[in-house]
Amino acid sequence: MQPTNQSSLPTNYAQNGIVKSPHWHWLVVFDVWLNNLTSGLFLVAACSELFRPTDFSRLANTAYLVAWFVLLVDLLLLVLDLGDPKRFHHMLRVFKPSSPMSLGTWCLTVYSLPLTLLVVFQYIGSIPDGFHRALVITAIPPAFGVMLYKGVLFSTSSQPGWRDARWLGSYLASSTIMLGCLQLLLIAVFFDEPAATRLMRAGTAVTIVLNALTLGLLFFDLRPTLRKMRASRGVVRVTWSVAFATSAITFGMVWDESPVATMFAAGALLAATLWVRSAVVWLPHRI
Amino acid sequence: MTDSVHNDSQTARTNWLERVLTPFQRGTPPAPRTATGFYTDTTVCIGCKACEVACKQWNQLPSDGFEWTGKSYDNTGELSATSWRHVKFVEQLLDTELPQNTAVVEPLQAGTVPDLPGRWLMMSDVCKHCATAPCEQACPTGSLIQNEFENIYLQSDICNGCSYCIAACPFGVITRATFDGHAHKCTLCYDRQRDDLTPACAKACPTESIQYGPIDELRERARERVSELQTLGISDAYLYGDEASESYSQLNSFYLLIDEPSAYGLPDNPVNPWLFMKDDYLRSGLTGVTAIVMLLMILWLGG
Repeated sequence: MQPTNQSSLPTNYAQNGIVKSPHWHWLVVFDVWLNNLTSGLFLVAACSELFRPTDFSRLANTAYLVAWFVLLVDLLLLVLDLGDPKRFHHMLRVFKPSSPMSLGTWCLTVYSLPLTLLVVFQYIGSIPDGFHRALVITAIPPAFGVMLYKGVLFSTSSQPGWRDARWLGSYLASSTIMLGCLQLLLIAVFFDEPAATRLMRAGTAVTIVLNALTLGLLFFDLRPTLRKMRASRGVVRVTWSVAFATSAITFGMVWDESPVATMFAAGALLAATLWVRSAVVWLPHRI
Repeated sequence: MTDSVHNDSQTARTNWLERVLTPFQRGTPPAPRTATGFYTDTTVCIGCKACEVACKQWNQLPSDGFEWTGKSYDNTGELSATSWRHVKFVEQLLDTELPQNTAVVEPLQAGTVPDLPGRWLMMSDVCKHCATAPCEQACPTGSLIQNEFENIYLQSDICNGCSYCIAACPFGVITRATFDGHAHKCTLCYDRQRDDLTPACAKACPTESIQYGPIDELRERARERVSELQTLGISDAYLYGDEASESYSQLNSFYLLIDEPSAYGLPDNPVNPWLFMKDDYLRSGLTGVTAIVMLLMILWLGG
């Protein structure tokens, strides 16, 4: 029989997805979230302390401690997610900036060192102000790298959805600063610091707007992929609706001065950011 | 015997200590050799699976069991950590009903070809050994390297199973094994090549559908074959991956196909995700800086 172009005929490979999904599930969802929580809280606390030490010095020390704890849990999840966790240190024998995962691993490592020293020196006793400031400033560039690499890692892949998500990194970056403002707001409310609370309310509100904008751009990027989804369309619609609604509601609520409203807004925003991350991480598995 | 065991454990301890004390120490890489690869002519593949068997046998890969997919005669299914070669059965059969009360099988006259409603295409799939490989760009441990033959070689003794190579590969080649948590894929029989032997699959192929050799010679041979097929009236014959496109590099394991790439489970237009990485970093960085500047403005103007 003469071979002819019969590509319209049914074949069993054309309909199947070509790429394989990596083994990235819930551990990675929480890793992305905790990564953003620790780097966001540190960056916002560091900027606030350096610019307004009188209002933020005490709060920043607490923020560094919280950021350190969150970082430890995040690092644990990163190690546990490996196929062979005993070999986690193999990533530290190579520095390869062309790989977002390698760059991210090194940023996390470098970020953890001054942050750990900041926490340790808090308990040893007072340290010279200059040394404290030097440690804070030293940790800012790697913390910025920690904030950036995750979104780029996902978008620099061949996975459906992620590969088209040109604004994913931007969304995670703006979300990181928003979450940082939110966490510092909670700390300020807890320690009853009116000036810091007022400033962080404004910071959270402004970054919510920026975050909603980047979320919209990410949604626009993902539209072709979302149309192809065989199932879970309802889940997708609910996810995006909840994310946008939460942005709008919390924008209003952070201005409310009652601690209950602030706590409620914080809880809603934290849950919504976790939900969006789970939707993004699970995207290739649902196509 | 006891001395030998004692010496071995002492050597292991010394090696371990050396690795701990000098983690960035590197050996001298081998001198570059002639670039090699595979050329797979799908028009002569008969789907015998000798390549799959030879690959498993030489590389001591375990069996995947024997399960029918229920929708194809292909019972391997896909490339995996234990199947580095996969013969695809592209069964393009029309869904037509035979007339009732008619014998389904009629005896054929000698030398005739049955006029079946459709066709089967066969293709022995394998790692594409991309000239610029996303998996190698992704690997954070240096486990994936381009070796002296310009093949992409995965050192499973270094891999820690992060799975970024799996996410990066646009051809769905690499898989993480359940038995050791490490990624595995075709090595293009690196061990055999070093001894000037032909890779097991190409050696076993009875129709020379899989051809191995210096990559430039293979490309030349493949182009001649396409011309020959087109002269014979098979105008759909073309090469997949022999030349770089705007979005992807050349493949050092390339194919002669007679249908669209997607029919064989290959991407029509593969894209290297690293093309977008710098812009993605820039976009993310600018957004991060914008958010921080907004925060600083609030801190500055906040009274």
